Amino acid sequence: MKRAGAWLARVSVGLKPDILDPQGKVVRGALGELGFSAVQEVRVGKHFWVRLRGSLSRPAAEREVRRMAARVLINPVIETFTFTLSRAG
Amino acid sequence: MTSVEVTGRPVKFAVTVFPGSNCDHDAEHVIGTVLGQPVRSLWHSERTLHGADVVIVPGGFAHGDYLRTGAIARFSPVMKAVQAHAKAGKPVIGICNGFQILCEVGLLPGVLMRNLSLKFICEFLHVRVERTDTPFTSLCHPGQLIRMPIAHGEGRYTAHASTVAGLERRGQVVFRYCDARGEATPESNPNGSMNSIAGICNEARNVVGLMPHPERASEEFLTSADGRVMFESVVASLTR
Repeated sequence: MKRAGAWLARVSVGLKPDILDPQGKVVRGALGELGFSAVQEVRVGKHFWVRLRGSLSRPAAEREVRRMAARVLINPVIETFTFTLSRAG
Repeated sequence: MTSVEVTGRPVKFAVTVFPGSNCDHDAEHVIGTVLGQPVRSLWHSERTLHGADVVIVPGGFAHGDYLRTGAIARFSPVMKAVQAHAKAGKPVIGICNGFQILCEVGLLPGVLMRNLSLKFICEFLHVRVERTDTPFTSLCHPGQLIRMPIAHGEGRYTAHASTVAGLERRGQVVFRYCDARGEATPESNPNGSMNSIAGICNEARNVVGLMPHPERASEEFLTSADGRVMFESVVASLTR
């Protein structure tokens, strides 16, 4: 039987809504000056691609991603995360 | 300027060193040469503090500040020993990057974020001593002004509003940015820190973190020796 490909977790980290983001404000300003007049707000975050062993079950892989995001990838004082999990092939 | 008669036993200092620390030698110099106290450096892979009485987590860019400032350093073996030392009520001070690491590891609340200006700021300024009931400010008088430099890109103290209110209520704000007259104004706040917070302590008051560099202002030839009182304070608090 063909072994399942690795899992690919795409973890998106963003600032909590009440946290000030001066970087996002600068980007928003630049976009405005370049004529992107529809832009109302920009907030800058981080994106992680994490490849995990394919032999993990989906629930186990999800659990691992949640654990590593909460423990390492984010600072829970200021950040939150979302993720998707798919077979990397 | 304060001077201390060191009459009791020597106070043993340890300075943690991570790949990318760059203020560790300054700290060791002040402790060893200026104060004449025993000091040793502790590589981040060490699991023991070798009997140190005081731990200094110095400035720099530990582990390149990758991910977030202090985010990787917090998992170093030496930080487990530092946490145990802190939990035992013994003095720990985090300076600049060291403050960021103490926040990441959870010994102090909050986080240091990018300066409001998005610029790295390196300049002398004033802070006001708000509390003298920590081991690092015991020789200060309330409201004392300390002139010392900051040198950081990420020093904007940020925490949930209720956390900051709690810090204020419990007297955990130890240092506040201010002007030369001691007034904390928006103009004297270099990085946009909430409530002009330059340094805080934990609830037990033995762990102190601050963004400015007292070790860079501990000798007259550096244009200010104001910062020395913080190191003299901890020696005094352990020998009296």
